[in-house]
Amino acid sequence: MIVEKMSGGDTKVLKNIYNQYHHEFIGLIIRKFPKLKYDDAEDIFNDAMVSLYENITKGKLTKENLTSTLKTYFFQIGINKTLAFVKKSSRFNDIQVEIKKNESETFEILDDDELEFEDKLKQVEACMVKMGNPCKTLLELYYYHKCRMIEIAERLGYNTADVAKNQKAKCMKRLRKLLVN
Amino acid sequence: MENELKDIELIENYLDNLLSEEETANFRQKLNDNPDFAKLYDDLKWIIPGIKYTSRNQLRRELLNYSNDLDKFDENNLPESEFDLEKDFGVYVSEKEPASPLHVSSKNENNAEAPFQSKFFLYSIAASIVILIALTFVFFQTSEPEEAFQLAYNEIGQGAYPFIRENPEDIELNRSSIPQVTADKIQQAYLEYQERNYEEAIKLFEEVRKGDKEKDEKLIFYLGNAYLANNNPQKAIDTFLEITDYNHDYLSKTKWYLGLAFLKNGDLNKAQEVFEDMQENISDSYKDKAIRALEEIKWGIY
Repeated sequence: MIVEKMSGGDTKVLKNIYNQYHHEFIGLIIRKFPKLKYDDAEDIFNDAMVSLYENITKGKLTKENLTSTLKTYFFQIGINKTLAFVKKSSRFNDIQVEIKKNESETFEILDDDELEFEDKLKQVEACMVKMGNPCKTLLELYYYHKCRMIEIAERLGYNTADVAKNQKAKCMKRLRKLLVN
Repeated sequence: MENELKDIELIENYLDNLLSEEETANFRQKLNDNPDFAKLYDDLKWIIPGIKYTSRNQLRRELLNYSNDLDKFDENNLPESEFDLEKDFGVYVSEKEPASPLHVSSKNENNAEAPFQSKFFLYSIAASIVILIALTFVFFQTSEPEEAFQLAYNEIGQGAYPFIRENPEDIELNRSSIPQVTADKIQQAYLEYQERNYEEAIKLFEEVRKGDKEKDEKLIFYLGNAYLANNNPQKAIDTFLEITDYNHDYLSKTKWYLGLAFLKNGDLNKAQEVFEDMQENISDSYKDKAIRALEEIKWGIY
């Protein structure tokens, strides 16, 4: 199942979903909000894909708690993001949006204003790039894609999970050093 | 190396809220007692979000590449969807009714056969009617302050300014020289705020800032927000006003919430002044919020 595959950090599965939903989702929201530009609609779609992926890797969405189809779940995330965009943009001041549905199916959306510390995050990003692979991939697989050590060991060719774990600690140390300097 | 590895795991568990109460207490003790551990903790609070940020950007780039492989999207011939936004997602979109224009004629129709001989008397009556109509209009068209506050606070804005625990770097302190006890109190204050325990957050924020030599705009901003969320708009106003006359990272947010606090306090005139000032002088997303407030609230004479 797709959810299980993605929970193992397999972003390639996303491509299938991306191809299947992309045009349909963007068509649906532009039809409802004709003032929405295509580029904005695609950004919303991509953000929804990222949220879907993160909900799965963080364990918020599992095959057990998925009560609708994956497509409905994804479209609901995308629609929430669309509504947040519409609410924020003064371009849509001439319309009013009403939600007449049980709120239980809505999902938390973080306000972009929250990225107050983007400069610091960018510094880490620059150091990650400088550090290069395998450390960069290893830390990404562990912290973002939530892969288990044994999976990381398999992917990156370490003999055991313990070797991968030690390697992770070394990579962390290198990253800290790069940031301090 | 082995110790550092364990320490990293411990800090990760703390940041993910996976520690028991006892473990959390031990953790805080260790932060107090062990400067190396405290430094590692300070670093990880933003290194881990930084790694996630890097990965998320990488994923976004991959997604953009996917779209290059798709057939071109034809905006003139939108694809059909199996979903209906109203039926399936309960989303109803309609045009806003245009606001009724304030239209009061200033021109009195002078009837030659009017029983009143004095023009002055006639004009006085006409002027009184005009004023009466205008005041009636203002009375009925002006938002009640509480209604205006709810509109701006919850619909245009997002309620109390959220403190996101997912960004542990939010708790990062800019003052490396402060004592650990104070640092813990500040952190606790933000955690109480995040949990919406505003009273407790206010107590801790106030306690901490008593010893402050320099103004911490972030702390004052959250303190004002805690007062506002705790239904004490006057204290919120006093707090926000401490940091609105010079430039800093929290200025636009502070002005927005200052305007909201004036609304909550029933002072629409002051709120309107704040939003107008934002419209002129602010350039981030809070300007849009201020413009919406100016457009959507029916401002009147108070």
